[in-house]
Amino acid sequence: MSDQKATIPQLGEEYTATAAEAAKFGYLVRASELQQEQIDKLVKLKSRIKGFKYGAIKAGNEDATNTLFHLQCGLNAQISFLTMWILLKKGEYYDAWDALIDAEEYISIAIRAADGGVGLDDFMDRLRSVEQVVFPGYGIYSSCGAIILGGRCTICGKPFSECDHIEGVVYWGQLCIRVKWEIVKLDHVAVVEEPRDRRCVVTELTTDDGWYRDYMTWQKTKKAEDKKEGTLGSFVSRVFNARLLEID
Amino acid sequence: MSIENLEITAVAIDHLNKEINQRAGNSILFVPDNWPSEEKEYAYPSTVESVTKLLKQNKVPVDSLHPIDATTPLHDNRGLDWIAPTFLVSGLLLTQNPMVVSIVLGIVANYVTDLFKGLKNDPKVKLNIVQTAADGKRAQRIKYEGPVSGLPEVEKVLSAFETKE
Repeated sequence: MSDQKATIPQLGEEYTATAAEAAKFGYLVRASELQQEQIDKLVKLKSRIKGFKYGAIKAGNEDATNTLFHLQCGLNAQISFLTMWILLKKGEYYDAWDALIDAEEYISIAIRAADGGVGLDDFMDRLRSVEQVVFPGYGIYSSCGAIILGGRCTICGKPFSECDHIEGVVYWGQLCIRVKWEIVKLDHVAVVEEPRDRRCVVTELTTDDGWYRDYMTWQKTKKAEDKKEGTLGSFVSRVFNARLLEID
Repeated sequence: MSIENLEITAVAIDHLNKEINQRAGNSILFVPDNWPSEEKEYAYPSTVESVTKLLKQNKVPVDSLHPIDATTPLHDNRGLDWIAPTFLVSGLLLTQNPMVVSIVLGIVANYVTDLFKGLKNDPKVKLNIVQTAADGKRAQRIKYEGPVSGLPEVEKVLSAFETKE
């Protein structure tokens, strides 16, 4: 591959133009193949920006790496948003929900990576509106607590207790988090209104007619067991999600 | 900021032996969530490492009752509330460094605010501080559960404790 040259403002302009074009396809009624074409364009630009990010790492310019990571996360948010619409049309509603949450989290990482006037606040408002209009609304989620040991840092790969990197902070165009920890004891599973991971949703619940229903489609999925005394009913939910976003 | 986010209880300080008192006199001392307790099992919130690093980078003297390493049991809670590691602050330390708690709370507040950028304004934090009097004979536990913007209230409670008889 030949060497490419671009300044950060030039890449910013490229980002803005590509994102604006992709935004025109962020609707349910747009054709899936056209949405996929936009995703391909966003992925291509993201790959180009990541190439420049690695160049900036080599050049020892941390501010530039973080700005480029900001653009990368903004593109990932757009990709997740378009993916959500495609999944919805395929009837893959839980995956579509995950894609929406991915988009929201990518925006949060982008904002942490660097300040930038690329319309991310407006985009987040749009995602929140879609959340309310397209999905049935989640008042409760699952949240588990566990006793864990160890883990490694995504920035340097060292044991997390041995390095200087702080969880949730962006360094050199990468997000620091703890990975590869070991669960020694599952402490509790709770129902909460505000979980850390909003992918941990209720998937099925019992209704008064004695059936379990899929929370998204409201279709009957199976006959419910007899209701236990003193309970309102039962539900099935995801308690843990191990999926990682692109953080480097 | 409403005081309702604060719960203050007196704690028994049988476990505050000379060594702990000395260590807490020199630095902010992180202790397990169930401290002081007879139970052998203990755990620190999984935020303890990042907060320790953050404070050290800001030149705040910090220590922990147990070594924090790959064998330390850590509580990983998956709620949205940000749970701070419990810390012991001694009256002796406050005499030498009256601003230390204010600095710690400021650093924590900035960190948590950044962590939730774009996702939640004024995120909720849970924080426990065990404060001992300068003579080491009295102690209180301050439990704060509320918005990060309310953390300065905690400092006022700490200041009031030293003047109580």
